[in-house]
Amino acid sequence: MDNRSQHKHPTQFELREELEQFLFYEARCIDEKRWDDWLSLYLEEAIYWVPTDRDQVDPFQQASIVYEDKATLRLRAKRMTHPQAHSLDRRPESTHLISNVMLDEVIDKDFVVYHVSSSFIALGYQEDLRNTQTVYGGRYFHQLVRTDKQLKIKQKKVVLTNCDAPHRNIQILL
Amino acid sequence: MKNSGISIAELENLVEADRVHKRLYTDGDIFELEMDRVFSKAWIFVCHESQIPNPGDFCSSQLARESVLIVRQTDDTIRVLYNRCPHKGTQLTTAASGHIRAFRCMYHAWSFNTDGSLKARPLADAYEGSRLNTDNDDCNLKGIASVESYRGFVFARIHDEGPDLVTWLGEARTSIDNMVDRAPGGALEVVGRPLRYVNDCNWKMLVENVSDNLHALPTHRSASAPAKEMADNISNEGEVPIVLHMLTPFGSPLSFFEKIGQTICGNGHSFTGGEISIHSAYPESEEYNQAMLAAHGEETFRKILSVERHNTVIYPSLSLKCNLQCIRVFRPISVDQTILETWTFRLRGAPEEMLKRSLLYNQTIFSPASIAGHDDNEAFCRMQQGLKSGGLEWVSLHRHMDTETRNTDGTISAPGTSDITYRHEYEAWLAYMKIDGE
Repeated sequence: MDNRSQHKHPTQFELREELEQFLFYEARCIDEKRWDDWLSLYLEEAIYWVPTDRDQVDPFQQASIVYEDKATLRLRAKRMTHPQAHSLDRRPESTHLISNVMLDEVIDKDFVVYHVSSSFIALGYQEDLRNTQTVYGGRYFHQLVRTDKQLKIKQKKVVLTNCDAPHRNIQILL
Repeated sequence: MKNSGISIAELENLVEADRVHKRLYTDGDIFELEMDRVFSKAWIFVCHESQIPNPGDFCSSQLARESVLIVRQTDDTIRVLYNRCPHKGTQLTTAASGHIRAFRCMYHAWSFNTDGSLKARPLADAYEGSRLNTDNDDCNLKGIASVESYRGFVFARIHDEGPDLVTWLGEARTSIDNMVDRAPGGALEVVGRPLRYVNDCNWKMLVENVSDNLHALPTHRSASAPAKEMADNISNEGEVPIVLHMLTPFGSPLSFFEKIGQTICGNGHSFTGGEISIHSAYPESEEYNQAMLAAHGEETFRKILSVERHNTVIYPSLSLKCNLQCIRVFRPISVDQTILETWTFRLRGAPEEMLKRSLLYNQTIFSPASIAGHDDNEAFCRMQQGLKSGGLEWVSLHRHMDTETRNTDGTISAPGTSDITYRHEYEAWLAYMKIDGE
């Protein structure tokens, strides 16, 4: 959308503020490990996608790092708190930073969908032999829907800067 | 060949019938020997033919320590070339795949035909009278000695001596057959690039884990138990998402894993399952069954789908899930680091839902963000650390020592939780390691 128009219309500015706060809130739920709160941000038909190719449009032409529906995300969340999730014995910590938030597109058909892009850096840490901090970074592409006055995630696409690299365990939620 | 200072007698002392020494997983000198011997004398999986369908198509791969280029020739054959310009040593390409009429070195513009032969070099007359005149084979890209393909799976071997591919595969080739036969159109096609997962452990731990049926229940409970709980809460069986069908069987009782059995095929190859596997209870696709019936007729169709192999190991570089069209490729990096590549295939002539199922399995189980694979990786990392411990020297391979059934095709079967496949892999390992020199 046109940058100038945002400054002319305070409502647009407020909208961007609201969308930004929503992204920050999602990141906070992850960093604070509030999995139920995090899941409640997703629509039942939502998709969470971490592709292996930065230009990937079709998730069914190449395996993705993650391509999950809400049921699978729920399973993922259940595992996080399962006492025998061995790889999580030493609890992974994360800190997400989100910046450069832009409202790219508003689609207003049966309901309003906001296409919001942002840049992120996520620090991950898990006590191990090297005690190293892992840095993930890239861009978020959120499709947000307003239902009953609340914003919900229809799709979240996480394009890692190194999406096509070999990765060690990605233990934190991106 | 490096002189490691490790004698054959010393290697023999590290492998006993029922146990192996921890140095096999932790000693960097042994790793170097493995690259010189096991990964140079065995056939190593390099790519699938569908990645390079047309003359001039190439893809990159790893063979032992080598970066290699697999190139489709104008006569449709396949050559595997060392990725190294004969001039100054520059890698010719860093691309994962592509199409070329000629390789051209970015440094001094030597160019090469698809078969590796020198095409041109600037100011060539300056080489006249030198040892690097054009009649010297050292002007050409060097090729890997042995390259063969079996039903689309391309293997290469650095050493020129040894059995041909089909002989070497033996009965294990029937798993490749079954994977290909499951395509109504009679062929597999690679879909996209692989997932690549860095594991901080010795390569053998990943290979051995493929046939280790004893770990699934305790290691993966954090994925299988919530999956079962979710599936149990869905009253209509038809509405259970396929991902729950995939994860729940990891939590099957150990008696189930004992029952699925395993079979060793020679040269370290093996498969687990046969009549049942953790994939047996997936819902069937009517559209796929119809396509298979039309392609094969009732009897052949039933025969193909009755093969329920869980995992197949083509030792030491490849593992297949023939009924899900996923493969795992093991790329050793160092004594304590291995990259796991997992590839997905389309069954030609099958409905797209079959591909979606393969992708879903690959992503759910083998991705670096997998909710199941994380716990395998955790076990590998802890073994790699635990084996540094000074307390004990040996790793156990004792389960079901004498419980074996000899089959008419020459293979040997054993209960699912037997260590027979471990023992068989070490038999092959030692045989490769005992062949000294080039």
